[in-house]
Amino acid sequence: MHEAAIAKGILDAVLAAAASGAAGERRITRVNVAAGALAGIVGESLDVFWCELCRGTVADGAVLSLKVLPAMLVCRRCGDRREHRPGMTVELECASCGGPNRLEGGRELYVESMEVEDADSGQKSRSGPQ
Amino acid sequence: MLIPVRKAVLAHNDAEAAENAKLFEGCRVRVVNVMASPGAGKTSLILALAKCLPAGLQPLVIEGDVASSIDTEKVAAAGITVCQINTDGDCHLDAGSVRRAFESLPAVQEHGLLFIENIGNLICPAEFDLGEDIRLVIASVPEGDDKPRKYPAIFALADAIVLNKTDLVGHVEFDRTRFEAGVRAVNDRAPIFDVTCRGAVTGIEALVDWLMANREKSQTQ
Repeated sequence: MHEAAIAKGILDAVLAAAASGAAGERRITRVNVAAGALAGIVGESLDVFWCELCRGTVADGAVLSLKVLPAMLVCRRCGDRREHRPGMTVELECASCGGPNRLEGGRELYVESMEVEDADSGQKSRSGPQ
Repeated sequence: MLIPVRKAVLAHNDAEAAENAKLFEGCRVRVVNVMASPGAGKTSLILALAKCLPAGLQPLVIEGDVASSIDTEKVAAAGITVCQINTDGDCHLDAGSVRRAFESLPAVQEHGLLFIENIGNLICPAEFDLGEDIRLVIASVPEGDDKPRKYPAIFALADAIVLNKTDLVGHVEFDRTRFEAGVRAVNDRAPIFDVTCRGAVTGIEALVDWLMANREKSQTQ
């Protein structure tokens, strides 16, 4: 359950990007996050913290889109490569040749990009009823 | 409009960890981040290691627990300088909390070896760099031989792995060969030290020797 800290890190990253001027003051509608298969992120849990933390900011209501990057189970003998996704068993032996496997990658955790509303819709949104 | 961000989610903690590393270096303190499940024997191992450190190297301990000061009392009773962090529910230590705890400890006279006992958890502590030099992960025999395969992330980042409570081999179901195969599937460089920390203590000297020879910054950063 480290999703509270993860949600805070995501919010800090997008607010910093928004403040840097690229987005102006437009509302953030979607945040695209990439997480490796071994990063241990539970999407539903992350959503709960995200919805609470982003309230009252320019990211209020933004959809958090989590893309899971697989780790790779690689055979040390024959080089066979298979995707390893969250919840899968780390198989010790290669499915092709029976050689010893090795798990690689899967530790990534970064905010890839964010989507902001177009300038026109932003003006409508701000002038409309709350 | 799509705007690229490309920023590490834990960038703030990573920056604080880098500051910690400088602080520790300036204080002539090397740091071991001790991670394991609850009850694997983190405190027992730290106490056993502290007894065997060479002269001139002062042991220090930061105890991380969700609640209580039970472990801190054990460490203090052994005459070791110790500070408690209670996370009140958080499942891991972060770099900021470690810095505040470290700054509350008295300065070391010569050189120090700080053991940070992380929260008992095999998932969350793996994500949070504390500015440590060495990441030590403990598995204990009663937990079973499958832990490296069930919690690959934390075993993958370990600089050294301790198999504790080896006196229980034969009393519980545990296949030492299978355990090592599991470790090697996720980490092919960390040495494995078989130890027993209670009763007839075994294996501690070899681990102390390794810590003395490998006190520099973790290779996994």
